[in-house]
Amino acid sequence: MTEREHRIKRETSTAKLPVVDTLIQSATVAVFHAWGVATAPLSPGELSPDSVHLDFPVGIVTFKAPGINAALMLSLPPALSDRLVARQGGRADGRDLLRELTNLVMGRLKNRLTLYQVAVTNNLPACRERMSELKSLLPKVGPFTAYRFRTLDGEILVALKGSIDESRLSYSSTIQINAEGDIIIF
Amino acid sequence: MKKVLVVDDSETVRQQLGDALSRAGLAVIEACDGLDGLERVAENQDLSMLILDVNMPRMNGLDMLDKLKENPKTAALPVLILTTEAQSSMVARAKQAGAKAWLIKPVRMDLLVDVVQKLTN
Repeated sequence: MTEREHRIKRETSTAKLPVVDTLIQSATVAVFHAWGVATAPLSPGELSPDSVHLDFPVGIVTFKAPGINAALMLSLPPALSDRLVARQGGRADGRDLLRELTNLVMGRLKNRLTLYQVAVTNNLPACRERMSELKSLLPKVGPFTAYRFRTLDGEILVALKGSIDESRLSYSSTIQINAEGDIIIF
Repeated sequence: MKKVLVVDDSETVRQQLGDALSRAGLAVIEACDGLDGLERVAENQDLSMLILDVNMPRMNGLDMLDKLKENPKTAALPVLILTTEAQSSMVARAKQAGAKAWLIKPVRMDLLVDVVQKLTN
């Protein structure tokens, strides 16, 4: 697809963040697939943080780039969290596991944004137990978009809060990226 | 028995690696960040190799790699980087610093163990 076709697609899409929506959905599906969890993405929706049901603890990572100042959150249904912990032999800490899953989704998003000529820097992922703790980490401006994913154990929720200027994203077909699962031997 | 130091701030990742490497007959010790990792290296003179995450609190994996290579006692230790980071510039930095391999999470454990066994033999 040419840059012009990309621009037309962006401008005619009904979604406010068509690129980011797609990247978050594909990143989440791929990460959970790698962990043996089948997910079906549902339509994203812009909401207020207070109207969203988040299962705490919530994983959160903040990230920045030119035109981007946002936070990515991950909330797992308790049944899925329990199943993933059990799969680690029951020794895993659910909060640490959630933090690592947040890290993996962020890593994949960051990697894909490289194709749009955006170099993202992110903080270390963290885990928060309640909304008041979470809000202190969220950017003050920008919408709160919820991405829901159906699983056999309930709904995973990935949320994005902050400002992302998609007009700054310019896809390049010439950029080569290393992919998840790659083994690069020197 | 070959001994591998796993340095990652995620306990989940350390457990996954520990289980996989132990099943392959390797002894595993753990550290939670770069500074902790350097202490484990100083305490364990018989290490065969290290697996380092990149993004960690206090000291990241690339800075720890630099410290290892600056020290003649540890400069020859093989280092494998295991991270979500995929930027070519970071991969190139690790290569220049003397790492042996860069693996991008999530990675299949059997493939990771295969690389570790090759680097320790």
